[in-house]
This record gives sequence, structure tokens and C-alpha cells, in this order.
Amino acid sequence: MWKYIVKRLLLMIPILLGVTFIVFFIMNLTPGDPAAIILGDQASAEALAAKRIELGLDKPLIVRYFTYIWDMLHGDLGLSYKNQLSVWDQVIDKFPNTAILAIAGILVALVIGIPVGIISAKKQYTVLDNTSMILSLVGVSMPNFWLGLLLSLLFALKLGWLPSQGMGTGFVALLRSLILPALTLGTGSAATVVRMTRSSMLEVIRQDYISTARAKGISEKQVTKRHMLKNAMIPIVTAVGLQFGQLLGGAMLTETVFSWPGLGRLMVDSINSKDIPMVMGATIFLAIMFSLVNLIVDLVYSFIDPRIRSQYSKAGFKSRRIKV
Amino acid sequence: MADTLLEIKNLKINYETDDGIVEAVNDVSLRLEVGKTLGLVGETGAGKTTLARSLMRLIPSPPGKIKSGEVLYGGKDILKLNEHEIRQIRGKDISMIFQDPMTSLNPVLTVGEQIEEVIQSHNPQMKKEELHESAGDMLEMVGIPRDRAGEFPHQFSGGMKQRVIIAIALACNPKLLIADEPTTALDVTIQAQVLDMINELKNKLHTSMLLITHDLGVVAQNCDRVAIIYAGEIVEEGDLHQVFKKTAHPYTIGLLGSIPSLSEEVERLNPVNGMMPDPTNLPKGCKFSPRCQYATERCKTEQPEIRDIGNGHLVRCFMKEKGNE
Amino acid sequence: MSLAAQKRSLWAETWRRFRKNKLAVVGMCIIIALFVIAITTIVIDLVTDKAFYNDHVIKQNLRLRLQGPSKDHIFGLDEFGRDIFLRMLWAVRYSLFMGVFAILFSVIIGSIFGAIAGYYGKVTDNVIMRFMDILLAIPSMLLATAIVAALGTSLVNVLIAIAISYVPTFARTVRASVLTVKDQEYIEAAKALGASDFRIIFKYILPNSMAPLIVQATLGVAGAILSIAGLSFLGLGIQPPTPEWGSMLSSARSYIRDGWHLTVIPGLGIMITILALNVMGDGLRDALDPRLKN
Repeated sequence: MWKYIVKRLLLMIPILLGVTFIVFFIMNLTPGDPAAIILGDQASAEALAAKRIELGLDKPLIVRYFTYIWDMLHGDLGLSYKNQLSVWDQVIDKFPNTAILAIAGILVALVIGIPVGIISAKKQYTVLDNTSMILSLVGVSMPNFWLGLLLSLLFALKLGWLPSQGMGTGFVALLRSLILPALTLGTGSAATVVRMTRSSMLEVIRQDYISTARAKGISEKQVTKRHMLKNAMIPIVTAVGLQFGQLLGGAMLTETVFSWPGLGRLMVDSINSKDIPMVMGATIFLAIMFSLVNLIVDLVYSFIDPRIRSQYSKAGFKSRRIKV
Repeated sequence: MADTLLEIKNLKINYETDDGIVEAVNDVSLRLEVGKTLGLVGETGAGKTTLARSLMRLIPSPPGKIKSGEVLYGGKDILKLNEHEIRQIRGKDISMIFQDPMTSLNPVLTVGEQIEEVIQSHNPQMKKEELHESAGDMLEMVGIPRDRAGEFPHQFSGGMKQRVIIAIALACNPKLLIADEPTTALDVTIQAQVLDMINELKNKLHTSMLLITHDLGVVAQNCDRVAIIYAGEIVEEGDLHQVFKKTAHPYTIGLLGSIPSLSEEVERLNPVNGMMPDPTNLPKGCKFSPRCQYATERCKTEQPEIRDIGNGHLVRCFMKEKGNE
Repeated sequence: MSLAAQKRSLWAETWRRFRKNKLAVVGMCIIIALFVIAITTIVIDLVTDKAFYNDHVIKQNLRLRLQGPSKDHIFGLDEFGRDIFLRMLWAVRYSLFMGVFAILFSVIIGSIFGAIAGYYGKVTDNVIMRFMDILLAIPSMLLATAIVAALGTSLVNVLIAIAISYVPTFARTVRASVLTVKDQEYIEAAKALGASDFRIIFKYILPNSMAPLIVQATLGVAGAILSIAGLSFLGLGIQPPTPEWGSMLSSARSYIRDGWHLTVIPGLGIMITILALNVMGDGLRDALDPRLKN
């Protein structure tokens, strides 16, 4: 098993290099001279030329890329154009806030998604099932920033129960300020998880081994827990993992709605002020986190499913990611 | 006559779907005797599996629905038991071996866990080590080394999986074993081994058996009595001699005619012509009449009753009515 | 039966199954209605040389700002006193056409990559699919944001950003169906008859990928519209005063205390569109491949 984990980690390296290169490449398409952005319009031609060399802009793209990666491995993502502060420090400073939000969001998705999906599958075609299917369709179809606006309109402005802006300090205040953003971020995922759980449960319910289990005389609760859920869990874990990645990437919108001081909002602010190193640093950081989450999901996956576990302990494997 | 273990009386089961109502089991009555094996023979879709599952109340519902009838076991009607009572019977008094060993074991639990599960559910007082111990015993009984208990189903071959399933079915020493085509999905060479083992264990444990199959050869080797089912109805029932040597129903004759014989020179086989009727649209009168070469006008309009033509040999055919003999 | 007749009956059969799903049919009607609205507003702009647009959709009327829904203005007026109903209608074209075009673009690019990867296999397959894996390793919204951030906010750049982030999905879909049909006998037969690779891919293999592709594309348009609205909401998409649902929501944020209708209505527009596309996509999937239904 350890061999497998090490192998997976090694295989992450080309993916991460690819991801960082794509982001690096895209960000370098930006029109405009970075030196001019830093020094302003009044700078002299010599000063601009000197700044360009200082930034390494005279070198070819690929060299600059590897320099960037080398620096990144040493905790250096360059300096922000806006305030000349370390991008790394700002990213590290904001990331925990995004992580808190994303974890809270995924908890919302799990707590709602899995039980509702199970009940829906076990009571297929009943009123309960139809209701939850319609609600989950609405859930996946709702733009989450709109849901965020509606929630703050209702719970913050009309009822005044919860804060709608910013992140509270202290445990209770933090929790209170987290509720609306987490619901906003998690609802779409909850709906996806409901649909996924239901369909994978329905898949399992029809299997012969469920009849075998029932024929043993064990309780229906045991059948559901030990036999259905354990098998249905495998695709559900994948879905949840992918959702978590999407939440990290999609936190921008929710963070903007609720003025949540996370990485996503830092990115949006930096885009508006054309602070390229900041945008690049934040994007690369989030993309790496996303890949790591996917890796963890794959590993969890192989722990649940003995078939995959033994398949990998025997032979080599091919990258096997599933996209929703 | 031996003691009755289980008696099915006028059982009627429908599947109610969007495309219509399927009468899967229609007015079936059968009696299982202690220690004996009853063979249930029929084509795919004749209602064999539905009948078998109904004895443990394992019919998927919806769409399955038990319309009427009784299944008497130990003086009680299984169909009227509550969820708790039926669970006491499942796995302990009545066990079932399912058709396809490849899909009948849970892929994410070890075979040991799957055997322990049934033992534990009927012996909740047993400790963990005892459970391990008896699961291991069961594995050995079906010829699998006990140290393989920690392995997962995908590490076993088809025949081995079926042995594990047999171990699960026999773990609580049931009084009745329902074997639903236990060898159909296996290689021919393994089939005999598995059947021999089932037989041997059944005799050792004094278990009665309902053996479902479409293979008359299997019946001849393993059963004491045999019932032939066609389109949800029993068309002929009797002991081996009666059904094989004094065959009375045209369908049974057809089934026997479709088996090649090694001892006789046969020009060509005589299979049953035609197909099973559409289950949502069964013919009026005798269900077999469209395929029956002896069918008369009466067969097409009137449903024959099943009747005893002597010594418990039951036949559902107008040809065997007293007047016609 | 001739091949053409068989084909026709396949689509007829699909349509028959699709029609049975009431929800999906309602979804399709909504989408058709939205297309009609989009085209009508474009025609009005062309005929009146944008006079109507300038007078009623763009022109501010601060005296009436933030007025709630009334008989004259069923959805009320926005922060600049513009009629929200008309702005909603004029916004349809951006969401709908941009979503459709972005997905059309990624379907084409993705199909080409997927077909080549699946058909040629080996190194070609590996190179293309590993590249797709890398694109997939970046959350789509993040990728789109990065592209717009670099290229600048314009209609075309948003389109490119969304299209690129969807390419891998379609490449995978097509590759998977190519792999399933590649080794079937009629392909062997075509090869034996000397058909070129190009002909085999376009004539025999891609038509077999149509069913999953249509379903994925329908759901993809829904996702693309959400992304476009999201980008506009962040100020990275379509810029005011052009009416677009996402940017209408963005400007409504500042007036959330003053008029609920500013926030509720554009979001409803997005949601109904996405909902319609989703139920239509689900219906298409069930109709095209009944085995998948549960």
C-alpha cells in the first residue's frame, strides 16, 4: 500500500508541472509591460529596461517558468505589483479562510446529500423521492452567488439573525459568520451529492448480493449500512472529492458575495488591479490544492474498494480520474 | 409418506408494471417433505425464481405482489409473518443459494465476514473468536482452507465463490435449502462437483431441498420428486419414476424429447416448438395450448385443472381426464 | 430495412421516449421560447437601428429608480430607473448564445482531440489525454477566471475561456465512445474496403458518439451559462450598461436593501434557464439510452 501511495505522489509531479505551466503560460499572455505597470507611466526608458532585467523578462518563457517553479519550491511566488509584498505570504495568509469555508461547504453537502440520497433511493418513486429529486434539480440549477444574495437578503437584512459580511473573530462569531457562506457554497454540491448517492444506491439495490444479505435474516438497517452503503460509497467518495475541489475553485463567487477574506476574493481583487503575480500565485496555489484533494480521494477510494486495492498492489496502473 | 416441512397452497404472485400485469406464479400448490429434495423444472421466465423467493418473502416489491395463497411452515403462514419474524426464518430455517455466484457475494466484505454475518444474526450471543471459528469450520466443510477467510470474493474462482455461498446458506443448519439453479453459471466440469457437494452436505445435515433447474439430468440425479412449471403454473408433478417413465403432460414429453441420449441412436431431437407466451398476454385456456401438438378447441378456451392420476402423480391436462383414458 | 430508414426510426424512437417525459418537454419548450426571445430582440435592434434598445433598455430615468413591480413595469425598475423586464429580455441573447457557442466550440475541438486519441491510441492517445488530464486538474471556474484575467474582459475572451475549460469533458466522451466502436466488425469491414482514416472517423465513428455528446453538450450549455453569469458577477464578463443577468445581479448587490426585485428577478432568469437545460439534458439521456435510466 505504501508503494502505491509513493507511486501516486510521484505521478502527481508531471500533473503539477503541467498545471503550473498552463497557468504560467496563460498569465504571460497578458498584454502590457509588467515593468510599466510597476513603475507607472512616468518612468524613464532606462528605468523600465532595468526593471525588465530585474524581473527576468529578457529570458525565454521556459527559463522564466523553471525559475518560477524553483522559487516556488523555496516559498517564493514573487512580489505583488500592487503593494510589493510577498505573494506567498499573502496566499498563505488567506488560504486557511478559504479552506474553512470549503470544508464547511462540503460538510453541508455531506450532511444533506448522503442521507437524502439514501432515503430517496430506498423510497424510489414515492412523494418523498420526487420532492427531493425536484429540490436537488433546483439546487444544481441555482447560481450559488444568487443563492448567497437571497440568503443574506432574508437572514441578514430582513430577519437580522446572522451577519452577511466578513468573517467573525472568536469561535461563536466565526461560526455565525460561516453559516450563510457555507450554505451558499454547499447547496449546489449537496444537490449533486443527493443525485449521485441516489443513483449509486439504486445501482447497488438491484445487485444479487443484496438478496443474499436479505436471505441471511439480517435487519434491513444492516443491509443498508453494511451491504448497500459500503458499495455505493465508492462513487460517492469520488463525487464528494471532486465537489470539494470545485468548491475550492468556486469559492471566489461566495467570497465576493459575503466579503469573506479568502484566496478567491484576493484573486478577484488582484484581477481588478491587474496584479498578475498575485493572480498567478493564487491560481497556481488553488490548482495544486485541487490536485492534492483529488489524489487523496483516489487513495481513499482504493481503501474502500478491495478490488482496486489488490489490482494496484499487483500491476501498474493508468491514471484514472473521473470528471463529473 | 414423510412429514411435511413446508406447504405452498394456491400461491398467486403478480408483477405489476407500466407495461401490464405479469402473472408470474399462478395458483401453485406444492409440498416439501422432511429430508427430501423436490426439483422444480421450467424454462427461463416460467416463474421458478419468483416462486423460490416468495418462500423467503424476498420478492422485490414493487413491482412484485403476492396476491393470494399461503406458505405454511411449522404451522405458520410465512406470508403473514411480520418483518421481525420473517427475519428469524431467513438464513436459519430456510436458506437460499442464488443463481450467479459471481454477483451474489458482496465485493467489499471478506468471505469470512460474510459467513460470520449470518451466524451472528441468529446467534447474537456468540463472541468474535467463536464466530471466526465457526466461519472457518464452514469454509473447511465446503473444501476451502480456513485461512482464506480474510480474502475478498474477487480472489476466488466461480466454483469457489459458489462454495462460499453454500457455506453461507448452510452456516445455521437450515431445515430447508432453496437452490436456484446453483450450477447454471458454472463451468460444466465444476457443476458436478458443486452438486455432489450440495447433496452430500444436505444428507449430512438432514436438510430438505428445493432444487430449481432447467436441466432434467440434474433432477434425475438429485431429486426425489419433481414439479414441472410452465408459465407460472405447475403442469405435472410426481416422483421421479412417474414423471420420467410415465410422463403424462405434453410439455414434459417435449422437455424429455429435447435431451440427447447417449445409449440410443436418435435421428433428431424433438424440442418443444415455439416460444414461451408473452407473460403480459397469456393465452386463454391451457397456457401451453399454442405449442401443444395435441391441443383441441377445448384446450384453447377452457383452463384445465390439475388432477391426481394415481399415487400422487399430478397432471394439468384434459387428455388425462377420466373420460379420455 | 434500409440504413436510412433505420436511422430515421432510431430518432423517431428517441423522440417518442423523450416526449413521454413531461418535465423534459417543458424544459425544451422553455429553451425554444428563450431562443425566440433572443432572436426577436435582435430583430428589433436591427429594425429600429438600436433606437428601441437605447430608449428603453439603456436609457436611465433616475426619477423612477428602484420602483417595485407595477402595472406598467411588471418586474419593476432598477437602480437607474430602467425597466427590468425589458433588460431581462435583452439579456437572454448573451447567456443563451454565448453558452451555446462556447459549448459548440469545445464540442468541435474536444471531438477532434478525442477522436484522434481514441482512434490512433498508443503515444498519440497518451499525449492528448495527459494534456486533457492536466486541464481537468484545474477547476473549470478557476481556469476560466485565469484566462479572462490574462486576456482581459471582453465577450470573445469570456467565450474562449469557457470553451477551453470544457474541451477535456468532450474529448473524454468522444474518446470513450470511439474506443467502444473502434474494434467492431463494421469498422474492420470499412478498413478492408480501403476507407481512409479520416472517412472512418467522420463517417462511422463520430456518428456513434452522438448520443452521449448531445447529452453532455446540453448539460454543458447549462454549466457554461452559469460560468458566464459568474464571471459577469465578478465583473469579469459582460460590462454594464449592457444587460446581462450576472452583471445585473452584480450591480443589484449594492441596492439589496432598497429593492428585492433587483436581486430576485435576474437570478430567477438564470435558474429557470439552467433548470430547463438540465431537465432537457436528463430527458435526452434517458431517451437516447434507456438502459441508463433508473
